[in-house]
Amino acid sequence: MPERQDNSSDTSRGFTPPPPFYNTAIFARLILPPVIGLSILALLIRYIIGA
Amino acid sequence: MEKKTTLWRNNRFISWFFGGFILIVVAMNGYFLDTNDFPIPAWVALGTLGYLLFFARHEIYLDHEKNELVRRLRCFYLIKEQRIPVEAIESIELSQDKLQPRKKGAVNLIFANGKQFNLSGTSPLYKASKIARQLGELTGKPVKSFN
Repeated sequence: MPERQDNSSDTSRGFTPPPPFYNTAIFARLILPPVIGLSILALLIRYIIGA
Repeated sequence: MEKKTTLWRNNRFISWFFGGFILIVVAMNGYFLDTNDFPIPAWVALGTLGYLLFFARHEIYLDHEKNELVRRLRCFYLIKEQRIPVEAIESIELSQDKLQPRKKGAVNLIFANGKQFNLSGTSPLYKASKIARQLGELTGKPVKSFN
């Protein structure tokens, strides 16, 4: 037990918990690529093939 | 010995089945985009939904080689990966969700300085308790439950 406590105290004192997982940048990286890609694709199809 | 133990990951059947269905609908609409009146913003929104359902992979696993707890999100490419060394975790807490205390629970990691880190958001209680119990067994850290 004392060995484990020594190990844990070394690592845990130097370790700061990470910020929450989700943030605006992650939603942007998830949602923007398909939105931009599909919009361009749709515009291209409408433009090239024509309605 | 296995290199990693998956604690939680999103349901692959739901991903393949529903994501695939939506993507097929979107593809057919895209193919007939010049002849139908389906509005482009709706087509883009449906395509985005199908893309996220089909390609998003979210998982939490224990890396036995590096002795780290990993939470990663990828969607075609790696979007975010968080690695938490197991030694830094003081204890694991299974707490109730404030809004739905009977139905949902959250798994929190407690660090030495008393800071709390929410591991997986809130999920159905049986899943959250399974994650907490499994994590406690694998890491040897104490699990604090609400009851």
